[in-house]
Amino acid sequence: MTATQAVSGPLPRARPRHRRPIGLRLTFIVGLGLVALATLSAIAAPLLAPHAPDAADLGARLLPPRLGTLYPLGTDAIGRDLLSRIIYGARVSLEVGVLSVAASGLAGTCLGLLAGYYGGWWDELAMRAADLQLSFPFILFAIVVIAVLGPGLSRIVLVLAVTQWASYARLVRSETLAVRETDYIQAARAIGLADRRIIWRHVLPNALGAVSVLATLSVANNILLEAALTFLGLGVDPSIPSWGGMLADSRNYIQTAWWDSTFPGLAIMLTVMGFNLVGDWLRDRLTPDVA
Amino acid sequence: MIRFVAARAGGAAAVLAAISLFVAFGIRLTGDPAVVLFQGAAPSAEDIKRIQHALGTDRPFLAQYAGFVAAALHGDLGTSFRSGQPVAGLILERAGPTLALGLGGMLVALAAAFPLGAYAATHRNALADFLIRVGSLLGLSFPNFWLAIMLILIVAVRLRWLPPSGYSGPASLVLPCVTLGVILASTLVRLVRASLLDTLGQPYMRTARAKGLREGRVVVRHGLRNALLPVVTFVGLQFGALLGGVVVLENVFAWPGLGQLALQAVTYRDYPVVQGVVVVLALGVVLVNLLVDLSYGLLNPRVRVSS
Repeated sequence: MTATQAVSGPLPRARPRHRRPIGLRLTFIVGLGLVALATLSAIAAPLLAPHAPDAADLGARLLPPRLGTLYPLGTDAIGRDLLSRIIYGARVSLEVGVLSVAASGLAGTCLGLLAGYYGGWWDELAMRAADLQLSFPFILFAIVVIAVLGPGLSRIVLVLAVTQWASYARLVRSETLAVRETDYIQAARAIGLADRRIIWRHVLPNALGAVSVLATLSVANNILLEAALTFLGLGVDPSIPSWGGMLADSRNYIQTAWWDSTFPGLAIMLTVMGFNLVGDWLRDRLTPDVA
Repeated sequence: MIRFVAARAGGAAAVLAAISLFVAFGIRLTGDPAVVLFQGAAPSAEDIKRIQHALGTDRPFLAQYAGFVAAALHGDLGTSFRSGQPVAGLILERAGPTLALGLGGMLVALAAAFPLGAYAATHRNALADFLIRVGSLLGLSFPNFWLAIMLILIVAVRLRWLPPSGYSGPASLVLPCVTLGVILASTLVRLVRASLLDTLGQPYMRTARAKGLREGRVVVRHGLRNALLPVVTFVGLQFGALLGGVVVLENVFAWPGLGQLALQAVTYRDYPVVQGVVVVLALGVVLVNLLVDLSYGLLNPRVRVSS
């Protein structure tokens, strides 16, 4: 079973049952630090970057990295500053990661709440659609959609959102089913609360813990998928600085300029690791029934 | 059991039908192949009509789709716009390298994940467990294509131990399979560890020990065996994700497989090829998922009853 399905049953209060080993808090701090670094780069890119990301210095092509010089991480094949491009590249990664998760998480959560709370034919329909979506291999879906619509940032977000809503729908549905028949929901119904209020105030908060875990880990995964699609030429426009695009550009110089293909990948890895660490920590705190 | 098999097979067929419809419909939205064939030249309306008729694209969509399915069931996937070769032949040519990469990667992943996961679970919170978990976290955070580039840089370019790319003999298989395997193993090792930890806490483990069985036998025969179920399911469901890795790595390693074929076909707007490759790959993934479903039913009778 995937993690999605392993997370089920009512969630206990978000309070650790016992003190966690210190290593765990450390990994959380490291994770949060990495996420903060990427976020800061994305927001304050023009302030942080020493050069414009597309300023080509043809006299300084493929310069090796040297601290204290104009180009501390070196330059690419047309003399653009690697550090500045990496700082700007955080924008694409975070935009795609966050937007795709927001879209799929919102749609999936709403569908899952309705399916779980009301059941019936709507539930059946939503879950069969989810099964279908989950058995459609992502890369094939991406290839077809990009072939039809063409590449671009908004298309990547669309592909990711459309392929991932089903995970949230299933997760939220199982959480909803678990609390639907509990006494306090019955009590809320008995005192005549409207369904809408029950769902928002009493059902949804129970599912949010599990959803936030899935969402955080999905940001990490979607950053990887975006980078891979862009690397293949199916992703964001090559004129926008992105980590996947930089790696694609670097391939012709792999023999001569190791820095060109090393640093953008390192940026992806650290950012993704940050989200993974935060996600693991959240899972540990919010869903203790998962090992 | 027969009802269980029939239900699952029906589900798989429905998935495949939906995917092929989606692809066939989507591909026809991308533009008129008759216009695409002229590649920028301005054909007369009459030329276009003639070609549309020859290609059969002037018929209603459902008729075209039915024709595609009927032909596909006889092994005919149409002909490539670009090369004029039959799509089925192109696919057969490229299937070998893709299978080699996919299965090789899976083997590497299984060979790494089982011993490491079992060791981590039986030595919980020891240094080795910590290191294995950190390793798995790193593996989960690596973009697979970047790991490939780094391995090429170190092993092929610097050390010159292995060829950097291409499909030529067993040595060329090592880097792609290891890259794919490492990424996959990172998820798998966590699952083996968690699943084994779960079974290690079961009462029957205590019974096995109380019987006087040696610890190694207890872990392997009683622990790992029962821990296998979720792992089998996971491995099966991973084939879709594995395919994603294969497509990317084929690109990095200039591997003459189906992923490369599909990507080139997208670039050249060679729709019959895109359609053929996607349907064939989807068929592979759906079949594997079906097999996993069925084997899961065999391994765990409770699944059969509940569905």
